[in-house]
Amino acid sequence: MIDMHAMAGALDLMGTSVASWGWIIPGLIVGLVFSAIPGVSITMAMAIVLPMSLYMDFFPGVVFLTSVYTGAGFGGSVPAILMNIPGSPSSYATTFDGYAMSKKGLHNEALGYALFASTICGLLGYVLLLLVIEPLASIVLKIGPFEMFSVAMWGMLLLGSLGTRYATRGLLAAAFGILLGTVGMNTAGFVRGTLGMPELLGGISTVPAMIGLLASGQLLSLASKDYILDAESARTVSLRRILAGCWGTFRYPGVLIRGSVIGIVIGAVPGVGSSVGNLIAYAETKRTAKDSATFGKGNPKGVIAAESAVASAEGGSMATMLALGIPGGGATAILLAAFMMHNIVPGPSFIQNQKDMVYAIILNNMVQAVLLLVVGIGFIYLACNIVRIRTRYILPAILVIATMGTYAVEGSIGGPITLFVFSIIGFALVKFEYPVAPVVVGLLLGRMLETELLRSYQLAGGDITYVFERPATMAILAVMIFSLTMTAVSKRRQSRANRDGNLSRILATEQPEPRG
Amino acid sequence: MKSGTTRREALKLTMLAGASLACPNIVRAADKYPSRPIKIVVPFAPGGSSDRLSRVAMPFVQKELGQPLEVVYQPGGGTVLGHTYLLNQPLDGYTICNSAVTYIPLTIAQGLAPFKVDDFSMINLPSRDFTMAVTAKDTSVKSFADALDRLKKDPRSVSLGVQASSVDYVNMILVLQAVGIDTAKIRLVTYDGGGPVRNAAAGGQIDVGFAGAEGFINLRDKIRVLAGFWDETIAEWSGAPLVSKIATETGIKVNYLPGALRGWVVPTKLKQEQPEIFKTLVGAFERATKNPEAIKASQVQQLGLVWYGPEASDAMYQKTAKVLQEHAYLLKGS
Amino acid sequence: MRIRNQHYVVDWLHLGFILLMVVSITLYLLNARHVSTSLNNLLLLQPLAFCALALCALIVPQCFRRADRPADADVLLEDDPLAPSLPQGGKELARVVVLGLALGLMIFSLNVVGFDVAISLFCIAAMAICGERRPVALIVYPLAVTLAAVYGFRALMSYPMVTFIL
Repeated sequence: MIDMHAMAGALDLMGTSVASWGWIIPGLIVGLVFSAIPGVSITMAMAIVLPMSLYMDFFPGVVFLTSVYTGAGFGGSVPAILMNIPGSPSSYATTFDGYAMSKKGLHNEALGYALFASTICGLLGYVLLLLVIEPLASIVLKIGPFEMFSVAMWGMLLLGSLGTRYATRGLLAAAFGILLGTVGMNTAGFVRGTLGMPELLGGISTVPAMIGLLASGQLLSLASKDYILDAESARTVSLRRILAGCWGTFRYPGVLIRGSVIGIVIGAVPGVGSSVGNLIAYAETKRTAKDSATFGKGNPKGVIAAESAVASAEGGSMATMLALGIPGGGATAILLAAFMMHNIVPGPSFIQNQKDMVYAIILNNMVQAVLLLVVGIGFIYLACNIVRIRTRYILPAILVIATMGTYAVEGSIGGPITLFVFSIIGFALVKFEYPVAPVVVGLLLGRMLETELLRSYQLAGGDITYVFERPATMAILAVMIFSLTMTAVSKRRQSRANRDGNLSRILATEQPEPRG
Repeated sequence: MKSGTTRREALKLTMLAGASLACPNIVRAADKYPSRPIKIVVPFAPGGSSDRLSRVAMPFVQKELGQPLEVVYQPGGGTVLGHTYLLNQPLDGYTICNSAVTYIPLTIAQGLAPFKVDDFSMINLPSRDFTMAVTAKDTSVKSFADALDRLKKDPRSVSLGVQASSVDYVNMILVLQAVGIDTAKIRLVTYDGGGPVRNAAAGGQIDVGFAGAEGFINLRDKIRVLAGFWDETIAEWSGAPLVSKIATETGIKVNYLPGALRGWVVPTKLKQEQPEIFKTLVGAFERATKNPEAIKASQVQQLGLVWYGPEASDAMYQKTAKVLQEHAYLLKGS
Repeated sequence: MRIRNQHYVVDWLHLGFILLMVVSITLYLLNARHVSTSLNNLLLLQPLAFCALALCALIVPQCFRRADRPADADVLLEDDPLAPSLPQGGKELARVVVLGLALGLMIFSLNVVGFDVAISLFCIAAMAICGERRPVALIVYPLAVTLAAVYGFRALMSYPMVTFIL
């Protein structure tokens, strides 16, 4: 599977290109810092540095860009964990348990878990890539609208596993979210619900809307607190505890591997991206966990699952880009641009004829994953200090940064206005006890659901039985149904167990939160 | 004591904020156009021919304009979304478009578009593509004639893929109708770009895909060419069976059109109201396109980069638009 | 409220919210149907809108509670672990609302008074809302945030922003 001759060539290439080594750390730092700003996505971080990379040679240029990619993949989880604001849609699932851990004063550990999961799975993603780049590429091409629709549905299923106080309100929130996601012009050219605003043709801008929905519930309510964390003893920044978190990741190899596989496969499918992968990985981990009731309350497995899918998705999308010349999303489109500006055309012939270059890129990305650990620890150590700053300082700054970040998405005031409108919607949802998560997920996946459903319908010619001719769809559907049934069964078992042990558990573990 | 801690806290935060300041400042200031990066709207999903054409020319145009260019994808609605987006941007020359202009008259004739043919003016249209019908390497479709035979017996037996409102779509309908296939009954999947059509065809998600020939180069090893919709031989697809030949062999009469016409587009309003900006853009593109290095780069990717200029390109656009509008009735109901 | 000899407590605000939901979903559906009744337009949208409306109808009874019964009959799980919560106390809730309004005010005035002015005014307001009273802090810190935000984002993004002084 590995061409040893090409491998030697790759090592030689890496050895002789001294400049490429120098660009890894700056790239990682740029990626980390930019993507930690809410609203600045991985794609934007890369677009910002693309012009710089043009002045470099090909290999160092690609190393620099992929380092930014690697750093940005993790950066988004820092605000997700510390403040419940996902830096980009791909770190949404990280907020579930990450922020819950922070609230318990376990922010050091949570960031450690996230970082190490990111590192290991980034590495794992590329190792797998090294072995299966060609077969993976041909599988990816076979994934059609049925499969894509099933994947999107799978993402929506997460809602089922999230649980909600009122079932009906949860479902309404989901339907409402999907409807919001279909606003604008659909794939067949019909324009709906834009209220005559051309800005809405492409749909509601997801990043500002997402931040708005989440911010109103938690960010604004920080105004009534003195610090992000209530208990003074919890407001520590400890390298030892960050490292303990890192080390603790090893206790969950199953979670890491499952997350990575989901991340790679979904990351490799063009047009899906990591925003679904993290949700599915989270949902699947929660479903299979024995302690699934504690998910969302600060279970480290939730953080690890989400982060592992995000990190390994990078390897997956690189596979599609290198082997087929197909950019799966914005980030790989920018990488492709960098390739082309050096007159190198990725695709089947590229990986045949320039295998040493492909290997060198993959190997270098493994080095990046390891270095991310070092740079990342330093970064989260600094970032953790946020919990020691009083909210009266942190809150205005964060709100300003979020506003500016959403402005930077499109360069128009439309972003901040979307943020504000969705803050109001979010406020109403929270006030009347509707879950916010289904709205966010619906909004993220609504467009994909509609497009793929439409294509599936076209392909089947309106005949539902056609689905039975697609083995891959059947497989995905089977897993989905299995997943649903298992969730229902385990939920039942758990709620029965909870009913019995509820009182004693509450007395034993739950302490009333002090109000600030 | 208390103020001491808070001051330290404030300092820490300023340090955090300072980290974001330390990054290099990308060329700014100066009021002369262009003084900031220029957005290139590509009205397709990533990975299609317009994307590739933009990318290949970008470094050279960038050098001429002295400002970075950035590609923005606006796929959907058979390019209507991207084109509407372009027309709705401020007339400051900071948003231009790289598109296949053949979609414009077709979407208008289908009643999908809120604009007119004359709303768009060309800077340069260097690339003319041709429709190609392909299937995945390992499908049961033996040849184009085989696919047509099967479709004649049962219009639902073979699934077809094409981009909505494209010339490829028109060509597909022309062939199907020539053979006498009921086009209302076929299983047709529409996509938001040539890239996705090609991927779907190469992966066997659809049985036969119709898309511009240029973009198939990356996927050459994964596909089998069924038919080429062109008259003169195209060097890189010299082995392709031509539609005209297939037609004479099977005894049918087929008419078809040349494929997508691609290049750089601005709103006509920009040309009229900001002639200086338009001139700057035209000058930069002319110099970039004539740059020998750019020509070499485009040849590596088998994309033609030729300078025709605004007048010749506009004429070509208007002429093609007329022909396409006559054929647009074929896409009714899609 | 009295229905059939039974006292009910009505959550009017929630009822209003549901009504707003129904109205917006209906308007959206009508708008979409007005554009085209083609299947390519309504395949997902129409059934989903009907589902949403049906769900609204199911939720309406939850706004009525028998006065002699404790709240919440439709509890599925013990508690939503991910549900964010708003502060319960009136004064704290007021703080949150006022901060939200200040945020809105800043957003809508960004292009009017300039990013620099809007941001510094918002920072002062937000700090005051959060309880800061010392004048030095109220002047120095907003200035630092404004400088960092304006110059930082100018370096970062390629779009222009309106500023009054900076």
